[in-house]
Amino acid sequence: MLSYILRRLLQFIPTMLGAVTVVFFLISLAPGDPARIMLGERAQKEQIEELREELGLDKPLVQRYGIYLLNVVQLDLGKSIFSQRPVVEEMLELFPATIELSLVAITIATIVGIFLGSLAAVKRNSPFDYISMSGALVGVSMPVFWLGLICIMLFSVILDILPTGGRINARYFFLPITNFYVIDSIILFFQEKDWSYLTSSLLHLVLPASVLATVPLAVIARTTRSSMLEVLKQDYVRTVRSLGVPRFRIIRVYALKNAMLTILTVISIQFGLLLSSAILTETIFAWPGIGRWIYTGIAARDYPVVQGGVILIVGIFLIINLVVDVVYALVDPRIRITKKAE
Amino acid sequence: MKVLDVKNITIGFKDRFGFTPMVRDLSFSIDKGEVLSIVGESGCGKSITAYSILKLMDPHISEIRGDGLMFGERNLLSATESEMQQIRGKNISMIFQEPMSSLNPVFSIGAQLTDICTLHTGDSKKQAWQYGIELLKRVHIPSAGECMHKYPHELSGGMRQRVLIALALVSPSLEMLIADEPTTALDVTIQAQILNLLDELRKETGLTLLMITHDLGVVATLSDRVMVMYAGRKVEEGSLADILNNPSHPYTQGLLSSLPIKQHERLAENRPMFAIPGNVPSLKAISEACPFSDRCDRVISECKQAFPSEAAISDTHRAWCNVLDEGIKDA
Repeated sequence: MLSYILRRLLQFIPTMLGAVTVVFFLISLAPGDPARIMLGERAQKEQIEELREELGLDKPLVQRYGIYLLNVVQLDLGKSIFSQRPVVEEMLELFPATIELSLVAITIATIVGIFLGSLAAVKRNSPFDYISMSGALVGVSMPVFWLGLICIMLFSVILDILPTGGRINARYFFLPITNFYVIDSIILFFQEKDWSYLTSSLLHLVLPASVLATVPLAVIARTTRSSMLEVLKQDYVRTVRSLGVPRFRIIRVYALKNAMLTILTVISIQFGLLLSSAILTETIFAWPGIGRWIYTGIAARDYPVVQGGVILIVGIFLIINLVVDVVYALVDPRIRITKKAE
Repeated sequence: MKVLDVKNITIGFKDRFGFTPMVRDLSFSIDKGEVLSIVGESGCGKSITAYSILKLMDPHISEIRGDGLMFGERNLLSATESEMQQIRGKNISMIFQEPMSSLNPVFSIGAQLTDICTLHTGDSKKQAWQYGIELLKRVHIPSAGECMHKYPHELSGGMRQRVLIALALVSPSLEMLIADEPTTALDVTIQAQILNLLDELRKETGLTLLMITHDLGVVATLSDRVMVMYAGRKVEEGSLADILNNPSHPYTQGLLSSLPIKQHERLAENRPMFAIPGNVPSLKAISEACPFSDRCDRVISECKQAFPSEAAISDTHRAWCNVLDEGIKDA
């Protein structure tokens, strides 16, 4: 297993190289000049030329590509053109926010989705089935930004029970240690015996995470239902039924593990999409994460930021895929054996 | 003593157009320690009968009607799903015809065995593991301890069927085993091993066995009594000797005559082998008439009007046919 993981990690290198190359040239093709945008419309030609030289934008494309590649290998993704801070540094600061949000969202989606989907499969063609599956359809089709705004209206403005945005009450003096605010506030709780940080950071998570969870939740619920129905038809389910295993136990123990194979794939794809598509949710809820960072980077033609962001997302997808393949092998012994035999 | 007494049951499927009977007015009983075989071709309702005893069919689409499905003192017809869960695997268990797909692919043999063991014996996991090894030894699986760690895909069909038999034998209070074509999916040498195993087990434990099969060879190896079904009806019933030596219903006679082993003469003369003409009628199209009347060469007008009444040939031997007296002839 270990050698398998190592081999997969080695395969990351060409994939990443490809991604870096594609992103670099695609962005260079995009219209707009960062120097012009930075200096504003009234800038003199000489000023622009000067800045271009300073940023290294005057060199030929291929040369710029070579320099960039060399830097990337040394984990130097350049400096943000606007903030002048290293991209890697900004990334490390913002990425935990996105991870925190996405992890909570995918956890909600997975637990609720699998529960609803299994129940719908067991109570097939019942009112519960119809209602939850139509709900799932609505969940898939609902635009996240619209749902987000409606939720802010309802829960923050009208009912006033949840904050509109941000990660923690802005009045709190809060020096992040890990940048995972939930973890930070737990640490603070142990240091200062004060609950308020934790409650505040959790309350700030509720709305964005729930909104972000709607689409994956709906997809997971529908997949769970269909793969569960498929599994419940199998001969081995009939066998345990004929042996007197109670229905609930059949579903929870025997059928779910088989159905999990399909569900896992969907969860992983959804998680990858979540991380990369958190842009809208992060923008609406003023969540200082990777999504918002890339969004502003694109708007400002901040090449290093956009490139860094895309490389990060590619890396996330690769890692998620690897994790899922490993989990597959843990769930399905048939995969495990073939890998041993390799 | 009767272990199972089936009284006049009709099993069918229901949809929005109504109820379509698949098995009609079926009555039979099995004594303790007896082996009863139900024989018939595909679609005659023998598997449905087996499934109905454990009420394994989806109650949303199927229905069992009748006077009683007596298992000892209990009437299974009125048993609820949770009462049936108490009986399944504990008092009556079943083995199926698809050993390749009847074991859960993502659990090891040991995990599946110990789970069923703890369910029926109340043993701890550790005891159940030991008991599982014992059971595997009882069904003659070599190196049973190793087998516990294996997964179904690592075993051959015959081995998987042995594991399934072991699963069915878990309960110490098992009274009856239903075997639904347990050898159909296996090749001939393995078939013989599985049949020997079943025979051995019932001799050791006095287990009552209900055997569902279309294979007359299997019938001859194991059965005490035989029941022949055709298109959802019981057409003949008798001891093994009655059925094999003195088949009385035209269908049973046709079935026995179709055996390749009885067709030396035809083969020697280069004539095609004997087969019953025609096809099994669609179960939806069946009327009150004798279902075999369309294919029978001795059909008379009464056959088309109502299902024939019971005719006793001997104490143990019965058939449901109007034309028995002229019919008894060499197969």
